[in-house]
Amino acid sequence: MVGDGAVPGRTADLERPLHGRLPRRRGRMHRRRPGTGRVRPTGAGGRDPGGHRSRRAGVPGNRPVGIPAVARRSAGSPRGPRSRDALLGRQPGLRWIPAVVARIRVRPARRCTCPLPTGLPAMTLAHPGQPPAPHDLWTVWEPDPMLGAGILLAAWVYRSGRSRSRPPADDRRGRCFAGALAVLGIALLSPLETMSSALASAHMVQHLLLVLVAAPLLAFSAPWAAVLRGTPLVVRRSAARWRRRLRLTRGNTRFLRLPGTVWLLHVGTLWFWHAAVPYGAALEHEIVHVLEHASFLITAVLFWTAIIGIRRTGGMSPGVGVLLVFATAMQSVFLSALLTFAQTPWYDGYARTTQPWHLEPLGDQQLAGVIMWIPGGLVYVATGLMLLVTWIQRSEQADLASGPRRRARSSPDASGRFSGGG
Amino acid sequence: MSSEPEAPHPRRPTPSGAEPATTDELDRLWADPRGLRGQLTGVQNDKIGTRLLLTGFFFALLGGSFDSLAMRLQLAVPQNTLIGPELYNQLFTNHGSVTMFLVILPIFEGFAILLLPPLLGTREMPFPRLGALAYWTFLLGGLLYYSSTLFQLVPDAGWFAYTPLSGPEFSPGLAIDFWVLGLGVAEVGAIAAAVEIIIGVLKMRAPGMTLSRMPLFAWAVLVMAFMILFAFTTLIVGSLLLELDRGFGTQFFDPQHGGSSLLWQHLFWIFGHPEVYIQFIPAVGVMAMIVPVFVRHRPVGYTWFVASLVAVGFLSFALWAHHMFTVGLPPLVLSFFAAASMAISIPAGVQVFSWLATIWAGRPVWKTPFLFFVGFLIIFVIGGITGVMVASVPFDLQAHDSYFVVGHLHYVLIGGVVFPIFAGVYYWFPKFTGRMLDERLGKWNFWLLFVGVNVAFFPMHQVGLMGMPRRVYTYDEGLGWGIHNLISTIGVLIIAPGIAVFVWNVWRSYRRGEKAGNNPWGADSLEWALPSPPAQHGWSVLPIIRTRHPLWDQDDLHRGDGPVERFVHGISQWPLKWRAAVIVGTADARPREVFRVAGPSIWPLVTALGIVLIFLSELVKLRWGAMVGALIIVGGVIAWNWPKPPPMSEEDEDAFEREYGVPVNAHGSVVVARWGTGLVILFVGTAFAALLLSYFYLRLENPQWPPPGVGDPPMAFALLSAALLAASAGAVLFAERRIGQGDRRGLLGGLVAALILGVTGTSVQWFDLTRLGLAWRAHAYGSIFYTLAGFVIVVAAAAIIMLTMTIFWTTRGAYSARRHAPLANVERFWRAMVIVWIIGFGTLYLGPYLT
Repeated sequence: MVGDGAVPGRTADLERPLHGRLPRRRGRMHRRRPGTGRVRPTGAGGRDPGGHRSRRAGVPGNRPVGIPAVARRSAGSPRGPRSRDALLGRQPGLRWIPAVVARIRVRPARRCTCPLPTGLPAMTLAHPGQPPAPHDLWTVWEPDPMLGAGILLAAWVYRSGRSRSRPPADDRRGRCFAGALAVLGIALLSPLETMSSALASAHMVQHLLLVLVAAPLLAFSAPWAAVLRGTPLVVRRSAARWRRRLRLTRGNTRFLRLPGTVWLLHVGTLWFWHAAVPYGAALEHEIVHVLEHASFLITAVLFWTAIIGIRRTGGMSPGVGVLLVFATAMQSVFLSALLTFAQTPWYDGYARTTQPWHLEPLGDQQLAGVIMWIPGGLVYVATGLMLLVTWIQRSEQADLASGPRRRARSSPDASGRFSGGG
Repeated sequence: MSSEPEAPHPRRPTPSGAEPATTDELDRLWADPRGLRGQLTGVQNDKIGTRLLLTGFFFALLGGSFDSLAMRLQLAVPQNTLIGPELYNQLFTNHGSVTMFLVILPIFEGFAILLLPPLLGTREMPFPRLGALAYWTFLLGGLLYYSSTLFQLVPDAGWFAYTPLSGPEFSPGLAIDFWVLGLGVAEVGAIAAAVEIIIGVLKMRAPGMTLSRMPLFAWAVLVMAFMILFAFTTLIVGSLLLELDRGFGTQFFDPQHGGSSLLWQHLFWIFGHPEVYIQFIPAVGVMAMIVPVFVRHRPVGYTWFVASLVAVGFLSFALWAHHMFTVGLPPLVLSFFAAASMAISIPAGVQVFSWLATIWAGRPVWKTPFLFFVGFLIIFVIGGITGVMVASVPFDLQAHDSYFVVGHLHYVLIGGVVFPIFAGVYYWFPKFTGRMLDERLGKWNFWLLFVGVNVAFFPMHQVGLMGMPRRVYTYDEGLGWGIHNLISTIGVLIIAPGIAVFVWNVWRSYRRGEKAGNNPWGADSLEWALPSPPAQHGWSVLPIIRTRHPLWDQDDLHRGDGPVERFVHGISQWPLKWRAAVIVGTADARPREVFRVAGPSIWPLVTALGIVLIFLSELVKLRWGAMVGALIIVGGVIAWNWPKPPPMSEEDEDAFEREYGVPVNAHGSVVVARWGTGLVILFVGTAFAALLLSYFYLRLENPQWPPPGVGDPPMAFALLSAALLAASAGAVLFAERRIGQGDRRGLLGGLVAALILGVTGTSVQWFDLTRLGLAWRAHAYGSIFYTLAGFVIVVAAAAIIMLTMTIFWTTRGAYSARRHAPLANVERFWRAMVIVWIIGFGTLYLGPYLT
């Protein structure tokens, strides 16, 4: 069970609604839906002390702002009861999980061919009205139905896709994918998500989880083929059709696998979002916040795919990977040095939210910087060393057996490109 | 753990390199010209390496020994009046700067350039002329720095020249300019050598020497070279800003005008912290070569040893902030740095325990190199322990800037670096002179040094804890520091004869030492298979490597699989008309290419003189001299790379490839040139990153950005020029594609279009910059704005010059569908330039809006 990819325990939940008990579940879901709301520790936001984020305060009608149509159809509901629930301090149950899965299953997941797009719309629900305080840390879960459903759906699709693959895929990759989904869940559904509306440091932890843990795991597990295989034929056909229509051949998208390009994309994204104006916009508008997380995750997955992805074998040398990881570590260190040594806080959004945590906004920001600096940096060091050791060990296996490589003509060929170091 | 557990057989005669009939001819082919001309144009790795070593030792005697002796004599007793405060300041500044920049670095680069070709089983370094440039710039920079003594303008702001003390306000004379500019020249040389070493280690090895069979010394200098490339580039940027402040009135480090004196600390320690490990890592590499030989056992934990070297490199770059514990960061933040600083003891521990395990498994032979190893281990471990102590924040707050730190750093640097240098000299001296160093004198040398170092530096810890601050020229009698200082001085007086014994030993043994055979120590690595001293070309027949310890495990160095063996023998007899060297795959070490290594040339010296002229004209404030210098550099580099007619026809190349299966590029290597371009781009990118960091750092220091009274930059012209530049990148790419299909007209058209677009774009940007008219003397905003813009434009100018030369060569018909490797490199550099352009001007123009 552990080895076969999906999150153990959850898979059972996942499969049950798929075998014929849908109507009842659906009914239950309708009844229970109010309970799926987020718990709002301090009420509906009317008491927002600063008032600077009062845009989010009036909850009803505000939420759909960033929610694409699909999300609104499946999760959108009158918000009133939710806030009432929250006021009453009701704990969100977990019973919504099978229900939501069932619901999505009914409508074949046309837009859900991979975990990313499914997960993303649900992130619109991040950062509700009021900053949480330490005492209710463990009650402020973000049981975001769309995101949770997306993650579970991804797990299920992946699992069924893997079971169809011949030869059976590597167990490690399945475990990595499960880990990636779990980390995504932790980053986006746990109290961390709520805290990140109050603390820059929590927000930083969240981003690091996305960029440094979930993304490399996703890149390493390379789940795309299995996920595609797990979807219904209709989806696969339409995916292929779209691919043809958009002319997304391997050649066309080659630039997305070039190490330099993906590095620039990833680093550019990181720096852009840390500038005060975009960051403030992300705190302010849910849709921008979704965009922020999505661009972090997507560029990070592209970056890590170029370095530790499965298909790298024919292309880039792990040595270049070590260098790129180093370059990434350095830009991360530079950025965190700026955060740490800043004399004034950068982000107005946190001006009045950090005090319950006994942190000044500046101290909070310095903590964020140093979290990115040291624990974040250690991830890079570990990855770099892992690449290096693999590189050395693999070169040990390369023997002289085949002699000097025969090649047609190693011309300083058109691109001047030799298959540089293996 | 090595795969073969059994101990080697030291008594078995070690194999040696074959000496076919062609040896003499090869030797003539690879030798430098004789006489003065040869001295000025020579590029042989033996010559460059030895020169670097000797010059390093020369500066060591000058700056390391003399200064420290004088300082210790001054401090021997309280209230001493031997040396006044000014001279004392100059002495400690000089002592630190010389040892950090002009001694240890060139010595290890010298070791690397001297040793790598014989050690890796190849005939030369990839860019012999670049090696020559590295030496000349280092020598001229060192002399420029030292010439300050002639004018009584000795720098006195400490080896890290903190601003504002080193700024124009508090050091108005030219002394600090000597420091910045002289060492700046030497730093350029260090980077040049680093590029050479990186490519040498990764691409020029014996066939079969896969990464897992590479000697640990090669790994160590590889890590060192990468660190030099990153760290020194940052320092050059820092020095540039400091010199701009001093010479041109910019405001980078002046807080009253929007600058930040902490910015200097950042830029300095981003360099300064890795610098310590830049010195330490090659020392570890030397030790890792010596230990297995003298305990007769393979090194334990090879792969982890390599990983630990790289880990040290990685970590050292992330941790510069721990030199700044006392600048006022909150404790929560400091605790992270403290924890991470202690983390560096993990890879260091891996190294130490790997050695201990190797010694444990083997049986030591107590010759002088091994004695120095043991001394190294003891002293370095003590230094490491005090290092962990200093890494703890509360302790550091007490010990910072006290003699405790002086004791710590001398333990680390003398134990970790100086002892390995001595060990390396004792170990490799026979190889390169043919004579052994005297063993008895060597033991004297060791014991005098070992005892002297401990006597001199151990009491410093104590007196530091008692409160004695560093960098004081004297102290009061009643403080109770006298006895410790006296003991320290006695220790230095014990070290001095130790050094004298060493010098005498080298001098005597060089003239009439015991003759050394090929392999006097029974060593395992390749260089010992060559005669002592090796011939000019090193290897007549390239070795074929099948294990990590070829001299212990292989009976014959030239036997391998059929094709490789045939190739290796083929290359020894052919071609004898030009200097042929072999490029191998980075990881698998299969032969990939035969190419022509550059020969002797005067142009490296000319280029070095151009570089010095630029710095010198800044020093004497004759700024037109800088233009002359720049022209000399451009001319020198063009002449240096002037293509020679290829010595082989394309048919001959094809014939060779058909026979041996390895392509020949007699007109110049494709692979090496590509790597060179890549490293140049890396260098530019690093400098650019340091400038961007400075931009954002200054942005943070100023709540209002741009400063009051200055408007946000309008974007129209910048957008236009960026678009033109982007289009030019497309044109260059087009041109390069066309020549791949043999279309020379398309090539020329594309290149000319790119040139026009590039020049127009640059002119538009230039116009906009002059139109903006920001006051670069009034506020740090204007200073960094024009500096960053100027940097981008200099990069663009370099790219435009390259492109112009390419067009010139295109009209001369130099490129064909088959031979056009330089075009690919021009295209890469151009693309990198455009990216730098877009990011640079994007930051400058969008920064005020986004942050």
